[in-house]
Amino acid sequence: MALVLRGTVVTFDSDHRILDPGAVYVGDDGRLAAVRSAGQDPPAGFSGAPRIDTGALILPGLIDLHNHLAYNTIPLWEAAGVPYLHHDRWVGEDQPPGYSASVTWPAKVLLQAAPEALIKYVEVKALIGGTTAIQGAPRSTRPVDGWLLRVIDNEKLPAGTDMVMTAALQLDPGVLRDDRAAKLDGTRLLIYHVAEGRPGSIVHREFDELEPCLKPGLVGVHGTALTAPDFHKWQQAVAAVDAAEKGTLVWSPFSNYWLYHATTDVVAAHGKGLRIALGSDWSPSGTKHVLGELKVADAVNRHVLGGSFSDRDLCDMVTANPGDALATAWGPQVGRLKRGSAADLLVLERHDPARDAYRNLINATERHVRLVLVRGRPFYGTSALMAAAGAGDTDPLTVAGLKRRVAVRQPDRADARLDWPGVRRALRTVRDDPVAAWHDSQDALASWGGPLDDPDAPLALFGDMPEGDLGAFAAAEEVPPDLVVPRPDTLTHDAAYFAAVARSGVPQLQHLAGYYT
Amino acid sequence: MSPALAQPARALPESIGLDEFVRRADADPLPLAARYQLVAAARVLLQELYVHLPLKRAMHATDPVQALRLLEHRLAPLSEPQFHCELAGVFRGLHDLHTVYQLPEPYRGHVATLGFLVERYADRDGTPHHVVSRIEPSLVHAGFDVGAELSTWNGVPIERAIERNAAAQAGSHRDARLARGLESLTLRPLRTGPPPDEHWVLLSYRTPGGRRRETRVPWRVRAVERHAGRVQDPVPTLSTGLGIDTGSEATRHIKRALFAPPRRRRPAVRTRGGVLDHRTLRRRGRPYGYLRIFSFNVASARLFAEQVARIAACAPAGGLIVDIRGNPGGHVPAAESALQVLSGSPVVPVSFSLPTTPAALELARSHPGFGGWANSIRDALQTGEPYSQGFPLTDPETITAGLPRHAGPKVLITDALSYSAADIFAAGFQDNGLGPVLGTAPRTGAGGANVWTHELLRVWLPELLGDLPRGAGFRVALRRATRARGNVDVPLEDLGVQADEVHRLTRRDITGRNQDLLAAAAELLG
Repeated sequence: MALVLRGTVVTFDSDHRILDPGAVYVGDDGRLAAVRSAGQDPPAGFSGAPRIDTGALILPGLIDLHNHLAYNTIPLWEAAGVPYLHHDRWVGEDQPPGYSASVTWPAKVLLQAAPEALIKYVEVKALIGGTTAIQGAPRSTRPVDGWLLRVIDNEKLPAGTDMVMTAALQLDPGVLRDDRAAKLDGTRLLIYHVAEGRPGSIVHREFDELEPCLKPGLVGVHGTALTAPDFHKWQQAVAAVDAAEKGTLVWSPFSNYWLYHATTDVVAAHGKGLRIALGSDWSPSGTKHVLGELKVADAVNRHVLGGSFSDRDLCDMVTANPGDALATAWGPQVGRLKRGSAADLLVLERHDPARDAYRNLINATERHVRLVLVRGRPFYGTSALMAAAGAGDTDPLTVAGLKRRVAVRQPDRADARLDWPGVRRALRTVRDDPVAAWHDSQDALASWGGPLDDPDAPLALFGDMPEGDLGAFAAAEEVPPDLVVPRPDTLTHDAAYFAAVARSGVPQLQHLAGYYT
Repeated sequence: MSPALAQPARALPESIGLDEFVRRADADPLPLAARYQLVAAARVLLQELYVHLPLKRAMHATDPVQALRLLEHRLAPLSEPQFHCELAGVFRGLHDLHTVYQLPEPYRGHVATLGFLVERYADRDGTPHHVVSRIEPSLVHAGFDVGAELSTWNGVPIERAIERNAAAQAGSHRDARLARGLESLTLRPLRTGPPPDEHWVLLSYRTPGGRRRETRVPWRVRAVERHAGRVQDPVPTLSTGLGIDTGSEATRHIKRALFAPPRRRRPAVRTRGGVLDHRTLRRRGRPYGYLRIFSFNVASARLFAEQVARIAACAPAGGLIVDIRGNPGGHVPAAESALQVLSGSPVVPVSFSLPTTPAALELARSHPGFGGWANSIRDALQTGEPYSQGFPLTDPETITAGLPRHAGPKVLITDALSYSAADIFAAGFQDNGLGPVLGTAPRTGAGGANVWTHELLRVWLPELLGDLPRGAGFRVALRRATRARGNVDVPLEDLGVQADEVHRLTRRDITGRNQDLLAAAAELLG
């Protein structure tokens, strides 16, 4: 429905205007009909639209440009062998808690035994942190466009075509050269993990293999082993195709420090002209959502990088910058508030009135997220704002001690039947008896000889990360009899999470808890 | 004087006439663009992911990729049935029952049937006989019943009719084609091949009482299986561990529905109860266990192996006869796990290799479960190897850990319709010395591969493989199986497993309960 939201509108437009008071006009089509000062007349068709005076900051929904949704019910993995040299090293970790037992198997079982519940749970987790678009969809037997969030990998904007290619595992150099590079024609994106490891490690060669793809549309994830000359080469190559374009590097500082005790040289990358976006990576080695990751970036900026980035720069990393990167494929749709943009919105309490909007965003926790709209539809927020925004069929949940409501079930989608209690129940059923749940799911899959795009077909999801050593069971479509599925990772950065961070002893990560006290 | 023409008084239950089915199918033809889509997809699939392409080119002097290119050039004038027939024909030319074109809706899950089965036996002097071995009761008429012996088929001498039918089958070798030629006289899976041209067949036969008669039996179409209210293929769309002839699995379901004793029709055909049967036999006063494995098309290797282990544990000391005739294959880990519990010592599983194409490399690099294969595919760029290094699909010993093993004497009965996972089972049985293999034909069906659907491959190769129209699809042999121990690296495809002893079926076998065959098996157990 058409809707008017009033408050302090932080546009992230090209001039970074802040309209205070301002208003955003959400059209029936899920787009912004206008973004104006509150005193201006509404656009045509909005005179009778419901109006919500939020008294809060209105921002573009946050964009998480690097994630692996399939794994986000798994708690932090306190791996024995840290720091690892690069991404191939922790995959084989068999010292308890081993990688495959702690990460791969639980995720694998949930992906097949409770796919809808899993995805909805991790979507809610992201919504709680103000996320409206997220990258890292699991592979699936039919596209899950996102029941709640905009899932970047599967989104079909603007013309009903999926223009985003992704790869969390490295592709063969020949495929990069002959296929992906050719497809990067200025209309498509390739979101690609590259050089994830400590500087000087062997994974640097992945950057050399990626050379044919150093074009507009390439979004490099991690790049922790890259150096200033690499960033220079990358940006030069992009600019040689289109002088106005920038390469995009996705920074996931928490995960980098957690696994490698080192992170990307984002100052050098920024200095060479690359655009920096943030990604929370995955819960086994990441933050709960990109709002949490923003605080890690802020802490690293202040304590390690000498404050090279302004508050606004940091906030751009979760809004305008990823939005601009996605614009190559989608057009100017997300990350900036202006007429015609997607109505992906975050309403955030101005919890520190003495400070500007950007610092308020950086310091905000889950407690300060008041309302989240995706495609103009309210999915999460306070009871009052959800009701005012017209949300129906909502369920209560408690977030960091506060009551919130979430709209998980969508009556108009045949493949999204679970409500929030149903999601919790389905996950608990798998945890209670993972072997039985696995067999039930395999029986259902084995019974289906129909087309996979049938809405009644069982949905199967597959993780996008390396599996490690699964022994003989995986290929036989079996599970180990002693498999344990942990409790779903909590929805907020809580005491248990900070206790694990404290146990890690990684100094750069110890500042995070301070934002939550 | 020609005898009067009879015909069944009643129609086959739960079926519709072939003419009506074809009319429905042709009423809504595929648009031309969809035909191009299918042919292009077939070409990519065969060129990039079909593991047997080098073998088939050599062994059958066939070039399916070129055939598809040519087909692409003359799509427009083809009628709907012609198009399906031509595309299916390219795949049939591969002589590989794994690798098939799956016709779009409404063909999914449907089988054309005449409602009876014909089996063949030969006299001691080699004179062949073709008799009705099973018939749906509603079709019994004018002495046309079990035991009726056929002499002509649509006016063609029966032996010649079978040969002609056999030539149109995709079996790997002559025995396999003949067996399928015989079966397809009365059963045609419509998902993987065009419907019969004729809407009925004219049969000359001799009744069990010796009278010569003629009858006209119409083709009817039955749905194999319904799930969630929809007609389904009887083989999973998604499984990664399959080695199966989907057409034969579909006909198995129909045979079971029409001809099995009522008690055997009850368990769903894909439950463990639906694929296994067992009893104790007595031959010359000695008891033997008899384990019939109709199919390996089950969901769980472990649960299947548990069931087999339980049955084997009850087998008398005289030995166990394991019968996999007509088994179209299924879940390879289930077959290998069953083999494991039937062996007193660890069984070495068969190995599987991928093709060394760029698409196979991309698959190996993007699918975490294929990591082991990636290096040798990459190296093939330099070595020129057409196949990757081979690895077992899984370790059946781990899957069956803790289960009792049957160390007693065993004999395995096979036929030319034992295919794929059943080939793998037979190869393991022979290579690991579990006991002699007694064939009703010299060789098994000779399908040696792990087969994936286009839809499943698309999950991992979305940039290479696009959407297909209206539920049409393909299955493709992705990983080829090679044998172990003394036959290490010998492929199963096109070669199959050579029986140690051959027993030609007798009339008593066909119209009775396999008395002579089982006696021969018991003889081998000593």
